[in-house]
Amino acid sequence: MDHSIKQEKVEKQCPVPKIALEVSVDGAVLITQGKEQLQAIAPDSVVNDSLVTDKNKQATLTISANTGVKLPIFINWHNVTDTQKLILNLGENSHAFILESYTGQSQAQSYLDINLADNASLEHYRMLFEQERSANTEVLRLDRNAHYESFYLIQGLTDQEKSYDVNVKLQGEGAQSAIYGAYLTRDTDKIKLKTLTEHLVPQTISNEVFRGIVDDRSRVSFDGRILIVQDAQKTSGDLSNKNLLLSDKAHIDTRPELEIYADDVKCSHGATVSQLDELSLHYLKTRGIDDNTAKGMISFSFITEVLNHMPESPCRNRFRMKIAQFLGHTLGDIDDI
Amino acid sequence: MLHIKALEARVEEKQILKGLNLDIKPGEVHAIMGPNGAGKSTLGHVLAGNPRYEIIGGSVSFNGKDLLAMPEEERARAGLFLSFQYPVEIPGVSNMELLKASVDAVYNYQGKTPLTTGQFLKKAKQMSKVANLDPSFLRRGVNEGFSGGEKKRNELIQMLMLEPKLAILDETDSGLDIDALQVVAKGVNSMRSPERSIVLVTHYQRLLDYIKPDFVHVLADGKIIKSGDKSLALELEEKGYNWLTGEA
Repeated sequence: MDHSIKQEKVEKQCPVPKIALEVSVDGAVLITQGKEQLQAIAPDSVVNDSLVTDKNKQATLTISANTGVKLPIFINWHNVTDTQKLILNLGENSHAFILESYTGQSQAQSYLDINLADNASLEHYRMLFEQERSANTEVLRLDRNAHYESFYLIQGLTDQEKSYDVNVKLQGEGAQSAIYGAYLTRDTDKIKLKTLTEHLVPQTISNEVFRGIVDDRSRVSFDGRILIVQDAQKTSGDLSNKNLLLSDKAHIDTRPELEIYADDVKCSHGATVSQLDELSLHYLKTRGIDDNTAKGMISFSFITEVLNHMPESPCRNRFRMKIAQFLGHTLGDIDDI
Repeated sequence: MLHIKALEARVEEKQILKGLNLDIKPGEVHAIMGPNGAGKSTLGHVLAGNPRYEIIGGSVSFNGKDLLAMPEEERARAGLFLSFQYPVEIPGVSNMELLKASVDAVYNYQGKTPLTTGQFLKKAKQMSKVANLDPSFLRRGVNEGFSGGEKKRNELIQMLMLEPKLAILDETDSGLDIDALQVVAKGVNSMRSPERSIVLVTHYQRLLDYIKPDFVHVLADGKIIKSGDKSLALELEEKGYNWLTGEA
């Protein structure tokens, strides 16, 4: 926490993180930039021409084995007008970092297919801010000891329903996935979030934490499921979904589910829906703080748990700032203490 | 400064304050003592506007204004400060963020020139020193993981920053060791001035060894049943509350 304020200053001076490669799907056109940069960082990391666009509007990016791409790969879906599919393959022992954003007037489906080979690891930051009806699907396959960690920030922007579908397949022993996310909705936003984590082999670990703030007349549906097949002994799966309802017209429908066929597993799941804590609100008001600002502070505090899971990085600060901005909370950007 | 007349209040269905009268003039320090459950803390909550408490009778005027008609935040802006017995934790929102929002709101309402970031920081660091709390606490979440004593000292920092006209300290001494008590007392004493009034709500007379009150009141069963000077506190210490409440 001590470094966060300084990091923010860095972030302000450097609003777009340095990136290894940019993949933009703009409308129906796919553009890549910085292939040379990526190759300069890890000369053999990009194979198969790095990116292949075919008639099926399907692109493939392959990071070769034993390479680590430390700078983020930026994937930007902008004004997507049709079904677009991006396949990302990480070779054995490789590591990558993806910063993904959805912007503009997307009206279509985006499909992200990620495959992590043995011992591969991926950090994935997703900022989902589409304005129109859209549907995003992400399918992940994790081989032996592969490690996936993702952070979601979902903001509804209109009453057009946006749906997010995530399917994690833990198919190699020792594979681990962690998904942490926040969704923020207001006005007449509609968001549908569906996650399915499949433990297909023994000794796999998953953790999923989503927190949401649902205001005005917005509607959120959260459907989180963990499936553990009979063979998947000695696995652990945790799922938590907590919601803060800021209005009596807001609607949240949360269904955390466990489907377990193995007998030697450690699992937990839970969901809560709560309202603003009256005492916290009162405490802030006795400090002269107005109702809106106080609500913003308490809401921000509620979301903090998700931020706490994120490692210190410019991405974390970007998430933090976006959340604060949405909730009308002024961050203390003071580093002179 | 503050005129409380026949104040009656209840929480849920239980009436706690049963016709409380109290007058506080600028510059005075009043101590309110009494047995547990007498309504001491309720008085602070009611004055600060805690929505859990319902006013069922009486009136309170604060610097000529009808305090009970003012929203919670306006009471604070007009110069009323309540130091909580159990300060609330707000993880993820820094003390600095809270202090800044608070100082800006209060200064703006009172027509004071707003503090620049530099002035604000300097003052916040200075007040942390007075409260004997390392300035690094300012960057931590509001009371997040603070010990009881640290929370009380954090309340003191807020009070020192806001320079209230009337400060009500609810059981500030509870949970404090003798060193922390001296620090808090020193901070409170530094705020004594002819324009500022202070109300100390306490169960024990110990605090009054360090902050000398002008008046001592005994609150029992929702009313002030006896008022006097500092010697009353000593008498209470010696004889206990039963001497006044008649419950032997």
